[in-house]
Amino acid sequence: MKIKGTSIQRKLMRVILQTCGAVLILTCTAFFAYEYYSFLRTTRIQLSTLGKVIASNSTAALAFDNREDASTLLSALKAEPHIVAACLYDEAGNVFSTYPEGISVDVFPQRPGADGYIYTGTYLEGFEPSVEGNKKLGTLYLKSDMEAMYARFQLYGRIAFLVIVGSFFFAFFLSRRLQKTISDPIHSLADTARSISEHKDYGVRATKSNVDELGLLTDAFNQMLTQIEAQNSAITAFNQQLEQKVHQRTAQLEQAKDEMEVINNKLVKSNRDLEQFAYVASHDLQEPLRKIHTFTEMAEKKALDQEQQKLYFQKIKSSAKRMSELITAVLNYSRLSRTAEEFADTDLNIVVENIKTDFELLISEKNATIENKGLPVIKGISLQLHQLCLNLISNALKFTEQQPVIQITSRVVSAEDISRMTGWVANGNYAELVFKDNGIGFDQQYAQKIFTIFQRLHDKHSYAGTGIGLALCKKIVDNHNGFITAQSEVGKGSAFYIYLPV
Amino acid sequence: MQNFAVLRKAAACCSCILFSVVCLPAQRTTSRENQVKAVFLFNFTQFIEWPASAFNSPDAPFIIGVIGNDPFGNYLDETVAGEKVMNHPLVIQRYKDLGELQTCHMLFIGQEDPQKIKTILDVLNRRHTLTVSDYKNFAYSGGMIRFYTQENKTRLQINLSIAKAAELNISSKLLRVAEIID
Repeated sequence: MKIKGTSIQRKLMRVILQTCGAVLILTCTAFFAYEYYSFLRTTRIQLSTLGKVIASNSTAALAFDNREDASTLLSALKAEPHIVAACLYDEAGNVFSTYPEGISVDVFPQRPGADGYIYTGTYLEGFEPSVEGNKKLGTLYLKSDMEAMYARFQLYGRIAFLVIVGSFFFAFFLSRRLQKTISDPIHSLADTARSISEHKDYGVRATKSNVDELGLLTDAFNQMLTQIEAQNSAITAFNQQLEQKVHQRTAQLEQAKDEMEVINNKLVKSNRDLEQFAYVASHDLQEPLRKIHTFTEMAEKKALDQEQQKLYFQKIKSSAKRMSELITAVLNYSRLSRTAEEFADTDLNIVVENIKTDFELLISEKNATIENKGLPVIKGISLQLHQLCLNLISNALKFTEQQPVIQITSRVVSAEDISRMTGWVANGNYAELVFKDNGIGFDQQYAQKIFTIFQRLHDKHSYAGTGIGLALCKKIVDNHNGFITAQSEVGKGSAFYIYLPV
Repeated sequence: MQNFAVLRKAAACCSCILFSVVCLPAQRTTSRENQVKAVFLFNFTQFIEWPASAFNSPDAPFIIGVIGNDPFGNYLDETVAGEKVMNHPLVIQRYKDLGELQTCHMLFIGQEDPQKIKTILDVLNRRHTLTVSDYKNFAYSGGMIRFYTQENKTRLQINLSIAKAAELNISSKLLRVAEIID
C-alpha cells in the first residue's frame, strides 16, 4: 500500500518534471536557434563594419603606394583575434599588403572577388572595396574564423545546462511540495480504505480536504460507507431475529417433544393398564358368570327340591349382583380415564363429613370412630376427591376385625421434601393427607402392588371388594398431579399417604 | 584573295607591335617614377578639398597646371582623361614661363632654381593653388608638397600651414602617409 502511495507521488512528479524538462529544452533550443542566426548576422555585420573602416582608412596608403602605412593599418586587426587573415589588393588587383606578418601570399585569392561576405565552412570571408570619393583604389580581403561563435555557444551551453539543472531541482522541490495537495487526499483515502478492509469497521469516515474532484470522491466513498454500515446493521438485526426465532422454535419443539413424551408415557401406561384390565376383567368377570352357568345347569338337570332350588337361585342371584358390581366398578374406573372436568376448590372437611353421613349405618353397626379435623381445601374435581376419600374410608371400615378407628390428618410439605421423596421437579407446596386405620394391614412388600387394578391380597370371601378401589384411588391422585403411598404391617393397621399440590 | 587579306591584317599587326617597341624607350625617359608622380597628382584631388570659391561655377574645370620642365609627357593627360573632381572636369594646362601662368587649382613646378620657384610662389600667394614640386627645399621655402624618393619609393613632404593658409583642407589619411613640415 505504501509502495502504491509513493508510486502516485512519483507519477505526479514525473509528469511535472517531464513537462518542465520538455519546456526547458524547447525554450533552450529556440534560444540557441535564434542566437545562432542572430550571431551569424551580427558577425557578418561586424566584419563588414570593420572591413569598411579599414578599407576606408587604407585609401591613402593605396593611392600613394605606401605599404608601411597599409601594414600598420592591417596590424591593427590584432585587436580582433578572430581575424585569421587579411590583405589589401591594389587597383590593378595585385596583393598590396598582407596580415598577419609573414603569411604566405598563396593563402589569399589571386584576384579580389565580388564585394560582400560569405560563410565558407568554418570561416567567414569577404571583400570590401577601398573607395575614396568616387574612385575605387583597391580591395580589402578579410577572413574570420567562427571561434567566437563556438566560444559563445560553449558559454551558452554551460549556462543552459546550469539553468536546466537548477530549474530541474527547483521544479523537483516545488513539485514535491505542491503534488501533496493531490496525493495527500488520495493517500488518506487509501489509508481509510485499508483500515476499513483490515478492521471491518465501517463507522470510519475519510476526511474531506478540498472541494474538488477528490473531495467528491471522498464524499462518494463516505456515502458508500454509510450505506454499507446501514446494510450491515440491517443484516445483523435480521440475523439476531432469525436466531431468536430459531431459539423460540427449538424451545417450542422441545416443549412439544416433552409434552409428546408425557402423552406417550401416559399412553404407554394406559395401554398397559388396559392390557392388564382386559386380562383381569376377563378372568374376574368370568368367575361369577361360570358360577351362574354351573348353578343354572345343575338346576336344570336335577330334580331339585324347593329348598335346594332356592339356594341355587340365591347363588345365581348373588353372582349376578357381584357381576353387576364389577361392571359398575370397571365403568367407574374407565370413566376416570376420560375425565376432562374443571378443577375447583374443594373443602376436604365437607367431603369427609358427607362420607360419614353416607356410611352412618355401617359406622354405627361396627361402632367405628372417624377422627378428622383441619383438613385443607384442595383444587380438584370434587366428585373424584369424594370417591378417593370414600374408597379409603370404606377400605378402613371393611378390612378390620375389631372396632375400626380411622384417623385422618393433614400437614403442608415443602417442594424440596417432595423432590427428595419422588425425584420430581416440584413447584410450590403440597398437602399431605394421612388415612390411618387399625385394620388387618398387609405386608409392606405389597405396598406398590395394592394400587394395581383387580389386585387382591385376600380371599374375596374373607373380605368383600372388587379389587378396583385402590386402583381408582391411585388414578384419582394421578389425575390431580399427586401421588399416593402406603405403609403397613400385617395385623397392625395401615396408613395411606396422599400428596396433592395446594 | 582571302589569303591576301589575312596577310595584310597580319602585317598591320606586326607593324603596330614594331612601332610600340620602337616608341617605348622614348617615353621611358619620363617613365615609372614620373608615372607614379602623375598618378599621385591626380590622387591629390581625391584627398584634398578646395574651397567652393576656387571655382567660378559648379561645373567649372579643375585645372592642373605644369610650369617649367614637364616630366610627365602625355601620361598625365592619359591619367586624368575623363576624370572629374566634385563634378569639375579635369583639365591639364602647361605654362612655359611665369608670363603664361594662369589661375589653376594645382601647379606642378618643374624648376630647380630657388629664385624662380620663389617668384612663382609669390605670384600664387593668396590663391587656392596646391603647389607641388621635386625641388629639395620646396616644403621649407613656401611650397606645399614635395616629392622625394626613399628606398626606391616616391614619398611626400607636406607643409601643412601653407596649405591651410591657402584654405586647402588636406585629408588626415593623406597626412598619415606623408612627412609633415611646419
